[in-house]
Amino acid sequence: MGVTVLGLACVGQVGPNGGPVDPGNTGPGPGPGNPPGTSPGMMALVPGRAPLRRLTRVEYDNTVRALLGDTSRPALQFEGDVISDGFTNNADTQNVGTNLAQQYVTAAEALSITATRDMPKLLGCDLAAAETACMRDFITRFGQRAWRRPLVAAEIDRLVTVFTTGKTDFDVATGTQMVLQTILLSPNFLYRVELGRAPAGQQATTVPLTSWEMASRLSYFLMGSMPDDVLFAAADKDALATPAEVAEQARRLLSATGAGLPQEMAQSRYAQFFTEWLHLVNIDKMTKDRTLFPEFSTDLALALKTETETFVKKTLFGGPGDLTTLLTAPYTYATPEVARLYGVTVTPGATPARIDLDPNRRAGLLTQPALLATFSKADYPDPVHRGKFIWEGLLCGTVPPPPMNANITPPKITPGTTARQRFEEHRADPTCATCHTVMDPIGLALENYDGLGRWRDTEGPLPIDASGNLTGTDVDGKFVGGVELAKKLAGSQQVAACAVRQLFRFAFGRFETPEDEPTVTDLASRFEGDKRKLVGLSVAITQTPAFRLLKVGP
Amino acid sequence: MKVMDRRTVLRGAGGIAVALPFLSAMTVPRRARAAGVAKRLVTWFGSNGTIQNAWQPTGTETAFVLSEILSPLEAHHDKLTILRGLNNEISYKSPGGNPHDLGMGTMITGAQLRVGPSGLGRAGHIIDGTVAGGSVDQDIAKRLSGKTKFSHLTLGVQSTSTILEPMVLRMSYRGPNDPVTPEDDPGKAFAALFSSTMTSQADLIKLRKRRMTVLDAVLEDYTRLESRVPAEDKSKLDRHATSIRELEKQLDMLDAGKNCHGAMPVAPTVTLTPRDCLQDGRPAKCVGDFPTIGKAQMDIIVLALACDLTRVASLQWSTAESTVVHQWAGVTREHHLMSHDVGSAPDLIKVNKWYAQQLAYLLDKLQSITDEEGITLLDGSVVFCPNELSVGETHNRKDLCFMLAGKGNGALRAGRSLRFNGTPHNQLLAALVNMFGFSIPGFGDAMFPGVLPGLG
Repeated sequence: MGVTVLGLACVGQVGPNGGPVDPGNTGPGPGPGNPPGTSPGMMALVPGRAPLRRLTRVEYDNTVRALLGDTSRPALQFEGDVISDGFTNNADTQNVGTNLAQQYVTAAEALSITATRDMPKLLGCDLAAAETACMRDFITRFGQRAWRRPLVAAEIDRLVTVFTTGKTDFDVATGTQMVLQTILLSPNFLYRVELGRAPAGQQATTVPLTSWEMASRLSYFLMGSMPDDVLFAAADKDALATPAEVAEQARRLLSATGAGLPQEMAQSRYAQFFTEWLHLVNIDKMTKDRTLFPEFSTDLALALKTETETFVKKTLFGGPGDLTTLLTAPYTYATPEVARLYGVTVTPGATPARIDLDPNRRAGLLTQPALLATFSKADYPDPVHRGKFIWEGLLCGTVPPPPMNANITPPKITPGTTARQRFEEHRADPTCATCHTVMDPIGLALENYDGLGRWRDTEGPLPIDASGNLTGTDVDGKFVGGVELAKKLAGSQQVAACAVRQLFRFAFGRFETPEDEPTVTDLASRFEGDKRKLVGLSVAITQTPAFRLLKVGP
Repeated sequence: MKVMDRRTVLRGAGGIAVALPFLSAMTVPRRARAAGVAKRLVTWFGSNGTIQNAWQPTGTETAFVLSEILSPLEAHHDKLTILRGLNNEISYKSPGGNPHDLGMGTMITGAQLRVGPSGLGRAGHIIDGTVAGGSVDQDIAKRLSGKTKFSHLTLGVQSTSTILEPMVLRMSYRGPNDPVTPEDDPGKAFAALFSSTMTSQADLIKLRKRRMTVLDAVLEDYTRLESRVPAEDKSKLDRHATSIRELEKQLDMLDAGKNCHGAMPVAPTVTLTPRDCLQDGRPAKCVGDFPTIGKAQMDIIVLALACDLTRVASLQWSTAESTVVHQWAGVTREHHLMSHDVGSAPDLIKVNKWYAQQLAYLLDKLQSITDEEGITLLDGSVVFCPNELSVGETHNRKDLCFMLAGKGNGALRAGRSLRFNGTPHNQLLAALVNMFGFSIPGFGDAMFPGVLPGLG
């Protein structure tokens, strides 16, 4: 199924470089590029760019927790990661200026002081008995976990020198702290260095990742943290060299029945992906007009995010596991204060409880308060931005900025009118109409949800008309309300392909480029063939050349 | 040793506080006065353009009358240089799509934007691009490097936004792909500047020794890795290593910030915790944060300059395309949305006037402190006030409403309202550099060379 651009000058599908495609060119399209089951070998699946990735704040905190057992979350004090279309891990936006460099120093010093409080536990050998041997042994073992690969002799020697200098200038504890600081400030810790295996010959255009590098690729993609012991053991045996070995490890981490820390982290990583995709990252900065929403607090905003996270985890792990359910489920997981927004009472508890919702009013992620409140103003719903997000974020459509002299102030709220009437202007003015005839009929169908995502039948005294229309998609047509919208989108191959594109961005820490299109298309067809199972999609991503190989040469 | 030299100089300066006029006569470098070499640069950013007819002064070059928006600056009338008629031409030659991206990225760099690998996203915003060159504040910081502990102090007020893309978040760049992110937290900014001034000399020497050992070893790792990765990654690592080297230089300045010329370093009481401010359930207190943080940041800038911890500072109020609701200025709608709406002019005037009041506060404070050469911080400084747009309503970037304050230690003949006729603003950026005693032929993109005449 191809994309229909319908001659709308304003809208298009995401082009190969993320920009709008040329009008008249239907672009890569959302549908399957190849029938399911086509061998990837038959297509030109090549690895794309692999820019050096720095640990994000979440990844840094997860990593020092796994490495040192330190739960102080020092990265909360770091300069914020740049947010690119929702995602916090776009490698092309990562830069370390003086502020962040200093914050890394401060964090490394604090972590090292905490870690050396119990020296025997940290070192695992008796420093007093055989000082240099013990320190060398510690550096070898700890360095390998921190840098996620074995250290070469020269690296060990240099770290021993740091210890000796520190011990001479100060004392043994300080010397040990300085070793830890050097390890934690090294690019080998802060960045995910990937150099690949030696090329097979002069003509080689790609090289496989080493098993150590693959261990980190898997662990940061799937857990947002350093490799666990099992991955390290596999890397040590060079047992992450084949697609089957990689898939096995991915499935282990994503196992719904596994109850270990790695599995918990994998579930959190999916939750993170969805909250970033849905632009909920900084929901704690949301503000609402308290005269209209006296119940609103930052804690409530965070609870809304937790609701979405819990829903994603429970649905993907131990639940049906597919995108369709995420977009249509008439249930959610809510704490008492969140349940109250749905008009449901639950017994108080720290963890969100499953509640069944009115299937005529609620269907999956799109009708959850977190998303609806995010795409609302402080007082009222924001149908334009709700529609725009669904068009851009779920359908991977593009919208250019409004003309420079367009009045983009939302119409004033005047008593006796509905939002639908107020936003008519968009469609009456031809310069606005091309885009707004696409976005507004999506957002206006969600007018039954107020600025905090609660159900309402009326806007002031007037009944709400929630009729909507989809154009420029593979599920075009009229519908009424959020539930019908969600069901239409759940049936869209374009939405499924967009989900693949979004997970690709999150997995690779960059946006796709033209050379990635065959990979994205292939993944989309596998996703369709696998009943849109998200866990399966992640495993499929680990099998692509993009995930397993590095480009070499010019 | 740099350390000893520095200490000797500062001891000298600290010990002669009473004999200041004498010392000042003796040590004011004649060439500095004669050549009119500016000492400090403060860049002051406010967003979304302005209402031109409420901003532009009336009257003549020297006998001008400040308009409604600038009226709070009346006390500093003779310290102002109003600049009308400059165009941000390079923003019209640059790739990109969104006017705020284009305005902000070029505003103090004069350089073209580069669209990153991800192309354009929401509303034509560049998703992960950069600019082709460094900004004027960082250029001057680099040229003055080594004179002060910190080469620059880049502060913001709610300048890290959740929704907006990278180009609108920063104005300052050390070079391509090397944006400088403003520090939004007055507490952190103060601690970074003054923690070492509150530490004993013996402890500072220890700290320096310890950190130098670690950072030297770390830098070896950067160098080693840089030689093994592709060019793009190498440049990323190199920017990180440059930042580490900057930290090392700071460690050398053991005595920095000990003489504050009468200013008293006091830690700000305001803390940056929007969560707390919301949690207490009183929105009135919360909306007060923006002005309170702004004031704290201005105080820190003045302190840093007074203590000669840096000579290049900037304050970025919010971001380009600012969505702040300036409730404390009597306005109830988002700044950016109002800027598109011609009917919002009265409210936009209120907002812009509020910023002029803040600037007046900064200028007052700069005027209140006299440096070791006997001139006020304001008279020795150039305060540069750009905006990413000229007219908010059309989002265009021609006939800019830019302004300078201060006398640049004689490099800037202030108290004037100047009118240009579409001169590219790159020439102003070049002129700013040259006020610091340099003679560059142009700044930013080579398409718009030249130096703005008539400022000195």
